[in-house]
Amino acid sequence: MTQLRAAVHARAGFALPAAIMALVLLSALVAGALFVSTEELRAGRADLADQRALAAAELALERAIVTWDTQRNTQLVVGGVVVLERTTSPGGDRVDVLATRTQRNTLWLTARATSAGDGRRTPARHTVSAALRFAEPTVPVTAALTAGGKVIVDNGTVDASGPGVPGPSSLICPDAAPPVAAGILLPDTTLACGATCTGAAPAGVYGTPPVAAATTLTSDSALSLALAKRATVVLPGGEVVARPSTANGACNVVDPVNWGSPAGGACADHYPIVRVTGDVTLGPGSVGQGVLLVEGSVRFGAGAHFDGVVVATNDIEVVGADARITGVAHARDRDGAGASRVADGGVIRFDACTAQRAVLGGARLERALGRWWAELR
Amino acid sequence: MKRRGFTTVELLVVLVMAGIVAASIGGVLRRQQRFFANAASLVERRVSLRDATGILPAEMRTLSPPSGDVIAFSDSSLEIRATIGAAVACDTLANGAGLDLVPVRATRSNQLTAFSTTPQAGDIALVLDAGATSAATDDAWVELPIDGVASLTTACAASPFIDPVADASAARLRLRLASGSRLPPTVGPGALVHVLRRVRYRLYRTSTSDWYLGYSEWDGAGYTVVQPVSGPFAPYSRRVGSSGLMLRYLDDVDVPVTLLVDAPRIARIEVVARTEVGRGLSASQAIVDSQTVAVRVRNR
Repeated sequence: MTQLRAAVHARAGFALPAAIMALVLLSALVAGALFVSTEELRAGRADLADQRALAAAELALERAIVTWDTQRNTQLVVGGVVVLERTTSPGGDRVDVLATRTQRNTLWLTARATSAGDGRRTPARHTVSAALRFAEPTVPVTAALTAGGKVIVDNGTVDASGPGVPGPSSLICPDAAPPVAAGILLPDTTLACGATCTGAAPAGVYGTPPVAAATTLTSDSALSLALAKRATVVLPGGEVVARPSTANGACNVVDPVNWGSPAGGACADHYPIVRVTGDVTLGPGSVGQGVLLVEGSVRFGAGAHFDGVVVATNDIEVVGADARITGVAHARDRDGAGASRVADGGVIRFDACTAQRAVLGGARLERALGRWWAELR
Repeated sequence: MKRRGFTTVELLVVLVMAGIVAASIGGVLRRQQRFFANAASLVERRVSLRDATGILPAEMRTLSPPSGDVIAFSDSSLEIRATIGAAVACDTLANGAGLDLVPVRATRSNQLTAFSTTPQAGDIALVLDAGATSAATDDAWVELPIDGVASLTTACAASPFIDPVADASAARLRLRLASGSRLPPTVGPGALVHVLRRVRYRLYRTSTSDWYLGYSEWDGAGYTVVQPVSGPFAPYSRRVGSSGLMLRYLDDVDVPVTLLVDAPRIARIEVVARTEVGRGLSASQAIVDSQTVAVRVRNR
């Protein structure tokens, strides 16, 4: 027993306390290091989530601008809101993009993104906004037919005497009174002829005045160039029969001969800017709306209708029963030969609202001059 | 009975050994304490770094240098017109004397108004004037000084941006313009508005000799007293890689912009915040930590 006690006494020393102390110190060191690294990790995750939310919001905003559906140009009323994107990723990140029309030509887009993918209790959040405007080409709306050369009206009608078909909403035509417009505007009034050229205004031409002279014609090459740059459909010329078409119940806007539908339906708000790079004939039953730019001459056959703006670098012919342009027409008469003709029942009917609607419908979204981006905090 | 004891030599040896052990433990404890203090300080300083590289970029992103938002700049200070909010006008006052804004908490599903701080006299309202025609060529942001701000619930009753029932009691801000400043007649309801305030950020030395990022703003008559918003940082130095705050201004092709006359060319700003923590964790040297962020200005 005495030997056992002696053995126990022999084991007493400071090795154990020293080891314990060392372990405590080591643990404290590790805890300190862990504290620092945990804080760094937490802060790093917060930074990452913040950056991810900002990047997601900005990306969504850009995507919304680029993929803007121009059919909304005429659908969305002032004060109206449309949801452009609402997505939630499997990781819990969320993006909402909304658009509000604030005026006829301005749009307010917001993109809000939240990032909680790392399991944070309070997700990082960023909301960015864009001040945008509808960029329309400037199309002079001063006459039913503006021509750079001779015009023959023979048993046809060029009518700018009334409002024509009024625009259906104040969004497009805010002015109650229709603008005063000439029937035909050309460099010299004697270039407007009936079956024969008499120097007097031909029969079938109405407006204030029926025929007017303008030394500076607005149907110049600048307009053609501006429209050509904005064209959404490019065709080579020849004979075209345009008609509305749908795909999966929606307007098929990628169909190059779907030029919208003035009569309503799924394509009522589809206003393409069509560029034809040669002479073109719109066949019987052809229907369309928007802006038609023809780099050459265009002929509207019997029953062909177009609502909006028609610009031809050479001549415009509206010939045949129920061949009709509603809006405004510009014929530049590039070759100085031949003539634009409205004959045999053809009609060009001035309608400022229809022209403005077509131009607005084909407008693309642009960032507001200089200061378009803001972060909503 | 003979009692066993220790000899003087044994006691001396034990005392010396115990002293050495105690000194070692004391040293370790001191280092430990310093380590923890410095670690906590390091964490705090890194928070400051993050603050600086969070606050400044948020202001810089919305800058429009071509529109004159950069008033003055140096390698450690920046005086700008900061965007404190964006809004949509729901109405205009008679004779163009001011604007009413859509409420911040309007119930329509899109957020049309947001302010990081309430506008005040001395701020600038930038209003997008879409012009008389539908073409973009006559668009302009019109700068109008704000003379007063009021909060109302009666304005914009018939606005399409406000729900007449749900937003009946929502406060609308009314921005009154300074006398002599009037909205163009072509500005109407739905106009987009940005509100700017002149602010100044700079690295400055406080009364405690520490260096902080300071903030002051224009209140209509002058700049307010500088308030510390983040820090402390390393002292200011012209030497590259050592100043507490280093700002670099670059154009589109990364050429440094140094003259105020070239400020409209600024496309990117680099912010480097740097801090020092006393003696380091190793007790032999100061720890220097820094954070760098590059900000692309959006409104160009």
